[in-house]
Amino acid sequence: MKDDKRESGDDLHCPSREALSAYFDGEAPDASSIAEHLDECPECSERLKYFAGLAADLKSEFQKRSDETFTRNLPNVLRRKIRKNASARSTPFPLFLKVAAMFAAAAVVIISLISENPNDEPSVSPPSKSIDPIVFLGDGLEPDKGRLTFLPVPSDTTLFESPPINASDLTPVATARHTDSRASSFPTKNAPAENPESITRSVRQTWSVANLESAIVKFKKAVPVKAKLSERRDGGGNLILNVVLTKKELAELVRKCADAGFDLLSPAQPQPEQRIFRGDSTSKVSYTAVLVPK
Amino acid sequence: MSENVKERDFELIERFTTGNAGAFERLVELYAARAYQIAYGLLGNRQDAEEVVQDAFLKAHKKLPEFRGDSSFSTWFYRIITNLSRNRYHWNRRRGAEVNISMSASFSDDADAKLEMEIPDKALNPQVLLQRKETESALERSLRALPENLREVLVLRHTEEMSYAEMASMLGCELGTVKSRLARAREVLRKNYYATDAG
Ligand SMILES: [Zn+2]
Repeated sequence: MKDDKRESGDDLHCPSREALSAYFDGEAPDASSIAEHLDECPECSERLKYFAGLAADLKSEFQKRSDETFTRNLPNVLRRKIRKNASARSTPFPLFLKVAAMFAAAAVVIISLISENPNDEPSVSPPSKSIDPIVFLGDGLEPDKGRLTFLPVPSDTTLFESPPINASDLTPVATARHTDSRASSFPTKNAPAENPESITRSVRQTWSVANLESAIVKFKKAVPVKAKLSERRDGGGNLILNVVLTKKELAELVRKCADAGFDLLSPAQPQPEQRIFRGDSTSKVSYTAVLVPK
Repeated sequence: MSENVKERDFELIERFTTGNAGAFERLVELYAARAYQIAYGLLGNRQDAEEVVQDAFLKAHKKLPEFRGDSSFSTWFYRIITNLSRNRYHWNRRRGAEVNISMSASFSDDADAKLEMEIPDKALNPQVLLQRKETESALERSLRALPENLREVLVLRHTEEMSYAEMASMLGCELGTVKSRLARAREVLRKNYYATDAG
């Protein structure tokens, strides 16, 4: 390195350090005179080289720190937190959901009447109060299908309080089907409607859990009693669980897992914050959950 | 920053505030990595950076309906990141979680830097210190030793290549302050990092 006793800026003709630094950033007003000076002054040129070297070092330092896993998972994490915040504010049920509740009650009765196996009770474990009810459009929400059914029954809704059905109350949900389908499920403040999502017949999701053993217990508790659960471990110490459920049961299970503190890493539906689904609630789904310890 | 980017962001915000949830997700995708780099640059550790970025997006989600477009989205958003990082940084310092630093006094141009002098350094958890020693580069160490106000301009300039005017508007200070802080940050690093490193 150069003789450090004379630093640029000391000489009357040298630009100040501040000016040089600004020149390097392309922010010096007197750029042309500095450029001229640089041709003649090795000290100032040296300093400029240092700025360039530092810039390169910093750039690679900052890039080294980028964290792809965090960035990739961020949308999921945010969705979950936003949903939690929203439910913590405990907004009252919108009118159409109250109406939904009424019909859901009716639907439960109908399902139990037509159930092929009378012992096969429909599991209507109510979702936790803090969460918006899950709606399946295929259960008949679309007006053109002529019947209206919503599941499940919000546990704290009194049916008799529901106002009479008013077709206009249903419009927001019905039109939701026609909105941008690649939109995700971030709740928006002024959102008129939410985009319905489909659940495929076979769903595989990966969950990140703090403690594998306690996660297994929580998971088993969240699965409906009648469902057959198989479990195995893979070579990496992860737990792979498989269970056949109805779509509605799966949507509820996923919420329970999220509420239990599991972090969902997969984008596959159902996501815990998703409220409206296409298809009907009783179709069966083969669900594979991979629990990965943090 | 290009006008196209600004307009793209305004359009996304418009769509978000009129009910398109996917538009917010797009903003997250677009800005997550850079926001993380800035937060990490300011805070010097992964966990704090992750939390600050999450909180910043949550705040943005809440506040976006009030966003009036006086500045670009990125300036507005990075201001949130910087503010949250400052809070976190001072909170850490008060808890003694951050080691410091001898050179603040001679480089202080505002109250922030003075604060650095007034707070006594407390010993870090030895395990954390050891971890840092192992994973932290010399440059990272020198960066962390910079007074906060100098580190800010350096990080914003070298992650986002922000103009002086953008930084001034973001940090709420004069353009001349940005200019002098950047110059000083570079001087301090030259003395600390490069003097010992070049050996
Ligand atoms: Zn010179």
